Amino acid sequence: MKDLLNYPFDSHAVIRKKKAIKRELLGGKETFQDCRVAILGGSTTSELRDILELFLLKKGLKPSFYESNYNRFFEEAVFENARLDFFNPQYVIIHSGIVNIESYPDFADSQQDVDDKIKKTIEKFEMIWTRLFEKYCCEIIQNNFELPHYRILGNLDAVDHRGRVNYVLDLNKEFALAARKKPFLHINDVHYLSSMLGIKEWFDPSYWYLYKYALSFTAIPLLCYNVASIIGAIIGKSKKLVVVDLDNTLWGGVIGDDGVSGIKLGKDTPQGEAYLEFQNYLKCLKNRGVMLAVCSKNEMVSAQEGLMHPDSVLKIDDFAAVKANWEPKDSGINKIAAELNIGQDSIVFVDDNPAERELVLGNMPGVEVPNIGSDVVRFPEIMDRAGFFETVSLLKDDLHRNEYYNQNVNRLQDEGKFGNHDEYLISLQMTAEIGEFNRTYIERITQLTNKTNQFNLTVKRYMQAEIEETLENPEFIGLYGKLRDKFGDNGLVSVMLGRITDFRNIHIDLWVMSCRVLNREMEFAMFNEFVGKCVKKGINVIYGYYFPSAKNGIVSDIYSRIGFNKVRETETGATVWMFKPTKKHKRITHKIEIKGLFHGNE
Amino acid sequence: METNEIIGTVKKVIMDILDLHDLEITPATKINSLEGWDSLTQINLYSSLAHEFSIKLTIDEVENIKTIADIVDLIREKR
Repeated sequence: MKDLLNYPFDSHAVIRKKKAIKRELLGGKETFQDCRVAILGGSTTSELRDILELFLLKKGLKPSFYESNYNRFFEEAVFENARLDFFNPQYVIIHSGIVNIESYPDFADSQQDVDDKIKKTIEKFEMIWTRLFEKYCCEIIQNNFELPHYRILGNLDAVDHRGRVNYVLDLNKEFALAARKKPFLHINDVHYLSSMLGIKEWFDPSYWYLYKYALSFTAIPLLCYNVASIIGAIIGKSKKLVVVDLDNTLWGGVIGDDGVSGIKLGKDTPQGEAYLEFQNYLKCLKNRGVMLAVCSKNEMVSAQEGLMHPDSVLKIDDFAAVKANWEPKDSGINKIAAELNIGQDSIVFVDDNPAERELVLGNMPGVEVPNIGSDVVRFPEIMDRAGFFETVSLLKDDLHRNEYYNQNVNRLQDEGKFGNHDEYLISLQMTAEIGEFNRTYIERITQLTNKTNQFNLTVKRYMQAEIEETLENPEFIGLYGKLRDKFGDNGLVSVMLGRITDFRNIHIDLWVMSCRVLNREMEFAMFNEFVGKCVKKGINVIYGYYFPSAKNGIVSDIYSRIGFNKVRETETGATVWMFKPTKKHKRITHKIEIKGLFHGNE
Repeated sequence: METNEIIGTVKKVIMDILDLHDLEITPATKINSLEGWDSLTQINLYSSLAHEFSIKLTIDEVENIKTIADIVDLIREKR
């Protein structure tokens, strides 16, 4: 039943069976992370709440909801609102649309008059965003506008300054500019969604007049899916890796039978051109920081041959891992996940063969397996609209991600040459930059905090604004760490945040490290620096906390390994530890040299 | 489409929407007497019926639906 939520889904089936889907989602074994979502609507939102709940549950989030009274989104956001204060939302969705635009251009208006109207409209929304953020330090998801239902000026409506189409496009542009300036503001691109569905399907006048729904029931699941993708992206639930099949997925035909000259790829045939386009699509994903890997039933040499095809946009170096053999695909994907150190739930598997999709879907519940069908011309659009790789920012670190992993492959090969792990680590000539939180890195610090699942002691999630509050705040010690070695730069890979109480105790509320630098003793380097800062501040006791989650088992014993004493253990396996820092603190690692600030490609 | 067949399909739709395993309805059943009925399920029902039978319902028609028989009549008339 919950498969009904897999993209591409049938909106009507989702709505009709929503109660049964919810029952099934809640009845499973999965543990959920709670979240608080306020929906402030300019139209009716009840159905949105129900359907959004399903898509969030599917992502492992269990929402509680606040809904504004009908069309009171402005008042409830801006004025005193004890009910919303009490609810204290983490996410606020402003569900507004063209029905909520108060003043449109008049035909007598000059360009200046129209500009003033745009300014006034934006000011009103700015007020909503600013007030909400000041009060709740929340993430705000704001609909932009769909195109108007009719065009009084016909085609000129998109051109003339008094045209409504032109006006709405200008407002959307202003929303985008505002969102660039405010990291907590995320645009739900209703303009794109409604165009995709067709504005004729997006808005159903009878639902508006009868129930005050500003979008049709076909559109509601689409909108909710999109909102859930944004929330997922904020807390790092987006996918990181695409595992692709080769034959009839990256090219037409079977390389083992047809040979390089026989496969369809390139501009000579319509099919070949479509495969080329799909490769281009994947290459773009790679360039923005999504990793690619191959899992194909083929001889390795055939796979390599295929990727050397003169028209192949994707070359073997574009893939972080290539598995071409005759093993079942789930085991191939498992090996890739292990090599790259990423979880199953970060993977999308793309294969034209329904039997392979079925196998992976059945055996690897975390992996997304879109039903891409078997017609290559549809592959890019199905992949794209599924929103697997939704992101709320595009940082330098994202763009370098593939390099980081490629370097790891080199490291892995290098490691084989050494007798033991210590020798290998020394050979890496690692240097680290460990410094206090600063504005330059604030986005990456937030991103790493929210995306990291394995090396994450407390699994606490922080909004960017919450991290900002700790800057230059004497009650906190926040450290970031960047690691570099002879193979290259790993980027900003670790974050620690300690909260001081009574001037002498510090609590490690947050300690995360990217899985791409596991087993490199970077955690020890971080802790050393942390102790140093604590000593300077006259801290007597450091308290460490471990809260178990489905994925952070690898750090359950870290505090015992670095010399903490266990103070308490709860029934759920959560542990509290303490440590007394001294000036004579023995450094646990000497394999990483601590340097001043790095310069260069960050 | 026969009346019984329509009632059968309407029944399936209602059971899905209300998440019921069993449901007794007759043409005389008042829709607002259904277990778990509220304004939200009403919208869902009409939206799902319109989709299931590929029909469009007007505002007047929706406002005048009181019983299962009203729904069946509308569907027969529109198909």
